[in-house]
Amino acid sequence: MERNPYVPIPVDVAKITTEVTTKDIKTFRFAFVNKEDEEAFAYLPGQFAELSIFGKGESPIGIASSPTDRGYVEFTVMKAGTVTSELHNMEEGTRMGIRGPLGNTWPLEYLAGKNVVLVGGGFAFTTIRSLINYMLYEENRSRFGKITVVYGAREPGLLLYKDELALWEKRDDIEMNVTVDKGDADWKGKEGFVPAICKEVAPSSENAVALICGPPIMIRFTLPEFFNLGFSKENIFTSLEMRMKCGIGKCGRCNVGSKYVCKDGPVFSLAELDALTPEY
Amino acid sequence: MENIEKQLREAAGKLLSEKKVDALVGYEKGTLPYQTAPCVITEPGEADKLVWNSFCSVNLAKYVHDIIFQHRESQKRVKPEDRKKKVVGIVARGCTTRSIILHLQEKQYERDEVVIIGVPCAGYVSNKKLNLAAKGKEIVECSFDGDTLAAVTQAGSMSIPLKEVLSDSCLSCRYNNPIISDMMIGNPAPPMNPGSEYVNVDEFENLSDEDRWKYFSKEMAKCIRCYACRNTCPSCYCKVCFVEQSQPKWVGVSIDESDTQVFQIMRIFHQVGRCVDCGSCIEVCPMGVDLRKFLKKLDKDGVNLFEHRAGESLDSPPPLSAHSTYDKEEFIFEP
Amino acid sequence: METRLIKKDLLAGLIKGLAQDTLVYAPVQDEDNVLFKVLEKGMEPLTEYDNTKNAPKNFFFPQQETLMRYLKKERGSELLGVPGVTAEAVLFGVRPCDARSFVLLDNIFDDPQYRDPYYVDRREKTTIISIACTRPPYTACFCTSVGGHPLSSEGVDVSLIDLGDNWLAEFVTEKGEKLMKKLGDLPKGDEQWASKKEALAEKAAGAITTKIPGKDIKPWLDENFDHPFWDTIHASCLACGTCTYLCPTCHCFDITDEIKKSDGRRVRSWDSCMYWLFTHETSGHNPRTSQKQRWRQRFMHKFKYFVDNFDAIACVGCGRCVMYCPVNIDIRKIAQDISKL
Repeated sequence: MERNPYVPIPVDVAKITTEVTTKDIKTFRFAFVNKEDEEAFAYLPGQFAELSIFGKGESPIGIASSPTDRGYVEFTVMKAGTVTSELHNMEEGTRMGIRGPLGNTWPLEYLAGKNVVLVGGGFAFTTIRSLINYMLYEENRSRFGKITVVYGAREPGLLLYKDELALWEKRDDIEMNVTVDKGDADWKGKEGFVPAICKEVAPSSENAVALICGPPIMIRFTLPEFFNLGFSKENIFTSLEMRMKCGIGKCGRCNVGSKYVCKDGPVFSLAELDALTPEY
Repeated sequence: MENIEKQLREAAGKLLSEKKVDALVGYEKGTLPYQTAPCVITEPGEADKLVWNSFCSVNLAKYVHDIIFQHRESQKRVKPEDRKKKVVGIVARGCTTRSIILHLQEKQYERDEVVIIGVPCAGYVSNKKLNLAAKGKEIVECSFDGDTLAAVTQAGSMSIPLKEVLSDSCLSCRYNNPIISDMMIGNPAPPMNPGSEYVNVDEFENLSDEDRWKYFSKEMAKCIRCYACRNTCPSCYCKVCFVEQSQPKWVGVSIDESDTQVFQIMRIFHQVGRCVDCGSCIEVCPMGVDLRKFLKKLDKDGVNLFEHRAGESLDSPPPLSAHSTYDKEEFIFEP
Repeated sequence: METRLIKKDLLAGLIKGLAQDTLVYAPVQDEDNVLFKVLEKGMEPLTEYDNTKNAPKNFFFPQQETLMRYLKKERGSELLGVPGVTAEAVLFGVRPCDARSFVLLDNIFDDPQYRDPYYVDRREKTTIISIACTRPPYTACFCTSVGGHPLSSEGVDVSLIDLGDNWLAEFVTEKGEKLMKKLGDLPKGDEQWASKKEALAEKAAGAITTKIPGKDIKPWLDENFDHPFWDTIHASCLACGTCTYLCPTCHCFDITDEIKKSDGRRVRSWDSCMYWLFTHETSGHNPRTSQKQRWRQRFMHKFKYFVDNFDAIACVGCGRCVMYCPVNIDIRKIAQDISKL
């Protein structure tokens, strides 16, 4: 029987990791209650799901784990509204629901054989993390060219996935450029805003695609740097956020022009966005 | 009426050309024969589209509030020393001026932010009553002929006495001439029949508790939660209405019986001493919910307990915003 | 196609007969309004009426419906189930414009990628009987400008056409023919019917005098998202939901959780793009902060976005938003004004 797209898949909160010193961003690892649901929840980096808590509602969140991580799925969530606040109060072992996977993916086919530049700012690094883990997976790595990452946060305590960042730094098949606006006594990495670091790193646009995610102000100042480097609008992708309810293109609120961010997005190239209305 | 329209257009054009107002709210001819449409004009040349007749229904004071508040919002991006006031002109009948008085008493804007062109009012046509008079048939042509309306429907033409289709609020209106104004157009209108103001309320009060609740439930079951009543009401100007708050969520969004009743009952109770009986909420309701009975009941209580009528004078603040040692208190101890 | 004749004064009785063992939704007089309601014992279905105030979309896509029930426990909660399969039903007395709205809504709710089980289930089990507009009821009608026709049977299973003394019933679909058997013995329709219908159709379409530019303005809409035209149309808009809630094609909704003690429901309710909260994000960001943007969205959705996606205008020309907008914002005038730019 066809699955009812409104009914969430039952999951248990398996692990909660507090990511930042301000404690308002946590990563939730969910384990599927039913084995067959895990099979059905086949996703790719860039997709999202509705985190569903009965009695509170649902919240659309990008998937932070990679499909190569078997047995669980992870979401990194900032405490903001009713649902995410409830989530932040949860303990490991609590049962809740997820509905998905929803939306399109990072352009994986298009990225194959190309150099990939990943730019993330602050909290908007979650689906890029999914993609990094996906591309670094042993069986996948050879499908992609050079991987360059620029990731920035306001201060060291606000960087996500610190253990993984350290592991990636040690590898020679990915170039990491982690920066903070302002470092502290222990900070040994780069200091400076993301656009400036992009300029400094100056990734080549030759056979390359850039994926940029971050707060609007960061995107606004980062894009010119990439245009200067010769990246075309077809080769720059971003992921949009909108208020959503159904996640399946029916409830009508997340449209940008004739596209629904939930169904046709969230990933769009700048060329695609240019063809849409500027309401997002 | 035509003479009033002519003077109105002159006055409005003059205010705009002399830059005494930045925008002016009035009524223009509608696309349907029995309706006018509220309009906001900013150029003197547009003044000629203003109309004034018995199809001018909704209370325009809400627009004054909205325009001023939107302007203030946009001024937030301007340096404090460069911020400017926006002065809004308004075509105002008695009830509209009562709403403006209420806004001023509740410190929503200053007196110098609004320029009031007062117009005398002989009442407006209730669409609901007109529809009943036309036996539910669409009116395709309609014009005034003295005290009657000449209407044409697909079923034929008919002559309807104006008095039969005037809004209930108008028929028992106590203030059909502007209470405050910066200029007056035309001669004061003859009084309506305020003596009949509470006839419906008196009847309602005589019903048993069960019958009153039955009536309330029946009326509220018609509500589709479109919020037209709240959005047209000049007294409903909260930036975020309680129905839209989510933390905490006071009321559900559905048309579940209890949700609709809570929405309406809370809105009505927020009108204690603040409802000017302009009738706009009833007029805009697409489903014909009888809101007036409940609003008038509170109005009557306000008169009986506090000798107060909303917006009747700048010197008489709403009873719940003022304290007097003579305030009645039995309703607290012996409700 | 099978046709039958039904005597004028027998129709209401036939429908009431159906209602004895089948769920029937029909236009009824409800105080001052004509509304689509579930036909219960003692209620009289109207056969002579202009159109209902509420659109019949309510039947397939109710203003509120429970998507699922759950039990709230001390820790977490347990899904109790989704509402079961609905019963066979008859939707009687739909005007052709409103019947067309179902065909348009199917694009959304019967999308093969994500089928909406609630809508699709009711849609599949419901037989739709229309009453053709041999005399279009309102001057505000403009179905012919947006792809419809007063005698159209698009989206209809049984089409009733007023022949004076009789209704001519056309059994358009298999579902319709199945219903025909339930109606008992009825005389067959006239063999010459086809030519007569053409004349009636022409007359009815001719009676619709309101013309608006439909797809003609699409190229302008494609290019003019930022045109100053949009700066003024919303000025008098109250930002209420009357136009969207009475509209047969508006389909936006909200999903909320409602809990009484431990009994929880996830509920879908209509929502409106006219409301500021509609797109307001938790962060405080709102892609549509002004009523100008919201009005442009409503118009663009109907006359551009829906056309982009489904090659049809999301408006059936029923005239409800024109007649019931409390401040007389007239979608016909907006379309006409655009065509003059």
